[in-house]
Amino acid sequence: MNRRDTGWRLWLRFAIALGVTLIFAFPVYWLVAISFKSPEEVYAYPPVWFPQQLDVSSYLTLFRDGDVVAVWNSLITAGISTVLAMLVGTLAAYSIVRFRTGGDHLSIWIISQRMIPPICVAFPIFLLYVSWNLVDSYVGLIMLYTAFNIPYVTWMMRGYIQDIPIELEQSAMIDGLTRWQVLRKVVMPMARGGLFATAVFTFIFAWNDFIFALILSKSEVVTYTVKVTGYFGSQSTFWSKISAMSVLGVLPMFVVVATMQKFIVRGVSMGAVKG
Amino acid sequence: MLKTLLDNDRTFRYLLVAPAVFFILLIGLYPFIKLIIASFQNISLFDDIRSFQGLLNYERLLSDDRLWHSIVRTLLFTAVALPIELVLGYLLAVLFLEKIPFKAALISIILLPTIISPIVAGATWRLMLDQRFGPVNQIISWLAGTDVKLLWTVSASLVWPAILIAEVWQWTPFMFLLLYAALSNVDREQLEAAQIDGASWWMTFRRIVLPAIMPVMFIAVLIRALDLFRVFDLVWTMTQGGPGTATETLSIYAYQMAFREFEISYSAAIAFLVIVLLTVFVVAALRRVEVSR
Amino acid sequence: MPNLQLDNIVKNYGDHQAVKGISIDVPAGEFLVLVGASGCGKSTLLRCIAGLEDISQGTITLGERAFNGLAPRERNIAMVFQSYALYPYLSVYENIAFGLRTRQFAEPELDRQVRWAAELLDITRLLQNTPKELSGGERQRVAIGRAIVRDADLYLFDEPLSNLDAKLRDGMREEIKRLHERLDKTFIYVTHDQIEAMTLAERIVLLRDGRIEQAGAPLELFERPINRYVAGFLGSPPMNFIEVNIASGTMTLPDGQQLNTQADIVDGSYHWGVRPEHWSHVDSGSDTLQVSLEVVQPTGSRSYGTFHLAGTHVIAELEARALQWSGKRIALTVDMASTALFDMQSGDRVG
Repeated sequence: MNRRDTGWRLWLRFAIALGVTLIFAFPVYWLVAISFKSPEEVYAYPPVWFPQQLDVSSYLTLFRDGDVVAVWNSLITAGISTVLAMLVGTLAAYSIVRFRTGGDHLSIWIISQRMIPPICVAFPIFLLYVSWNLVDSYVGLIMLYTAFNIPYVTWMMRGYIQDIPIELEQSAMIDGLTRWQVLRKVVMPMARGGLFATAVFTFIFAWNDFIFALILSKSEVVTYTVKVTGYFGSQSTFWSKISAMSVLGVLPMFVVVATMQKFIVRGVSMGAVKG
Repeated sequence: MLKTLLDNDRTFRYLLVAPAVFFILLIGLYPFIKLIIASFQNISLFDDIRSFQGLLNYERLLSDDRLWHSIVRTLLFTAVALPIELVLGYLLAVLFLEKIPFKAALISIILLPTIISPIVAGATWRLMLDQRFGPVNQIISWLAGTDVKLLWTVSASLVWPAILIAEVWQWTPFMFLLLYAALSNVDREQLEAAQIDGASWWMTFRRIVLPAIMPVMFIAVLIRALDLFRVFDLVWTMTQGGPGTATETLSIYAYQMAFREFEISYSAAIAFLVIVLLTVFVVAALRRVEVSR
Repeated sequence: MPNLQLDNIVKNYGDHQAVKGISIDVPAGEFLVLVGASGCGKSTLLRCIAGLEDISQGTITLGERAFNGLAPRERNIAMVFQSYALYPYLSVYENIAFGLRTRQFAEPELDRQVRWAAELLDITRLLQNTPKELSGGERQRVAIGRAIVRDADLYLFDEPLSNLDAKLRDGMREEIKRLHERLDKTFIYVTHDQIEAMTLAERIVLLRDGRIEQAGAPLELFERPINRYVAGFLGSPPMNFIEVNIASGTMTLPDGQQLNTQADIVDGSYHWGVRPEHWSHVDSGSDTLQVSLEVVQPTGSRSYGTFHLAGTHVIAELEARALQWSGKRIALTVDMASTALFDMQSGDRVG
């Protein structure tokens, strides 16, 4: 794997890499392009490769009809549940690592919860929510996303916390910190990278959820994924709306991932290696 | 009160795990138990009768062709998509291991498909594959030299390839990222020693590279296999299981039973079957790893 | 300043007993070194004093305060770890200030203390750096600074020098000793290195397998070890042990050579302990041993010569010019008064 790194080989590799990148990027470009096309361009044949001008009418429609509230709903549910899951999962992970709470059983039991396909428990949860009056509510979705992400957070943070030298915590305890203060002032800063990476993925999972939102939202708390599929009609499909709403739904992800890139690459690989 | 609790190691450790256990019991275990109970009952949404009917739902599972077809379909899809993603991901990882200009930027662009939701991925590929204004048919037309209008998401013979394309597009980058990370950690000195010893490419791969990336590869395959087995969002957006039941996966069938046909008890039996199958599969897989270690 | 009392400390890990009933009184201001081979329980004992481990039996008291059941932070102690345990996300300044901030020192007082400690350890110019930017020796100074900046009753050191290279270790050893003299506080220092123990300690406690083997001033242990283990542990190169037979004032060595001995001892077989420095070269004379020098290792000021007495390997410290005798037969005398005799079975010193 250690060949010459100069000359035509380098540029050949670059050309291949660039080509592959374009293949992966093109559908995303197409989605974005459609959202900025005028209705005539969307349905033109042969297809229009580059929109002649940026037509924002698709977006304006979404704002005018109030459909964008779906993005807001996704933001609220994914955001709050991420914070909760991070908190609950990190505390559990700390206890499991430092006190061996529950031995091996607890951590395996927690991670096994993640294996269950959402569709399998969707109906009992639906019934539960009907009786608790939580269908179509923020609280309902937030609780659900929190619960479903706790195993992931616990598992990931377990790995990161294992990497913190225990002497740092012991030294802090001798220096006068309580257990709780050690957690806040030593463990949290030490696991900062891991916290960010895990939070990003937790957020992505909640943000991208479709099944639970489909089952548990009716009219009040509709997330953007449900909204997008709602535009697929049996008679007509609203491609402008679909593409514009999709772009709005994907944009926050791109922002999050772009700003957190260095944590994510480490996070993914670490999670897998530790797994 | 809280202060003394927090100060005592014995209580502190349990306080820390308590919220997690509470949430999982509430939203994980409780529905699971409900599910098992429901699978032995006959529940109707329309009247409030719940009668115990023993194993009737489970007997029905055995003779339900639509269920077994959906399971076979899902397994076949997994068996085809997973190796493709793995091989493509590996090739990409090997390519990007070399020195390449603007590497970091290219990698983050390649990762885009993985972070968008499967719903959007499905919508995107419906746009891409649209028979009239989709660019894919256009490109095929150029290559073929005549007008081609393939009905990707409608025709029974093309609908699986269409879903496969979208699936591979979305998840190959995930495989790539994991394998790239794993390959970067392969001990360079070992590779150089092998080079000096005159080992062939294949020997180097089998004796050094493969063992080193095996743990990561195993986890990656396991994660993706579990995801593929419950695939729902992507297929739902692209075909809703159609045409007919041509792309009805296990999850879609379970959804249809529960929320379209309101066969509550029967869908509970299906769900329980799926959970049992998955548990057996995962335990067997993990056992295998332990044995090989 | 309070005295520390350890009374019959026992520490069990499941079935394994790491500390088997240790009692030590440490007067205020003493520099006590716990030394022993790895696994002897010295670190465990230190961690019990710190409160990082619960003790299974016994009591620890500092002055009037019983330590049993107190969390580490309630014991008013400071500790330096082998791995330094510096917080990588804090500057050197904040690392040193960490314990003071926890105890809510006012800013001017805190700043004065940090600067005093930094000055003392010669790390003032590093205060704004992060630990990552420091060398091993500098990190060690910061770790010590973090401990001494606090007005603790007890300063614990867990092998603080073992991650440093040899040269730095010599320097830091001297500084720690000087620090103790300046601070006049109780230091308890754990090490596996007998040179550190000898040079630093006012009193050494030598542990073996969870028990105290011998405790006392360094020279006391060195010159009057109570058994073969203690004798062999202290001193470098270590004491030579030669199997001898004593009969009516004559000592017979493994190769048959004989020496006169004044030892007042019953006839029989013993291990004869001779430190390398107790050999000396003579041109000729009575009561000498003839040996064939095999390897000579000059260190500059002195040379170490090795030879065999039948099967027994022996090291003798000789004058620098000994190199020229390499491979030759020479005559050696022994300072018989300084040597020791140990019982073959129990290892106890008998003469």
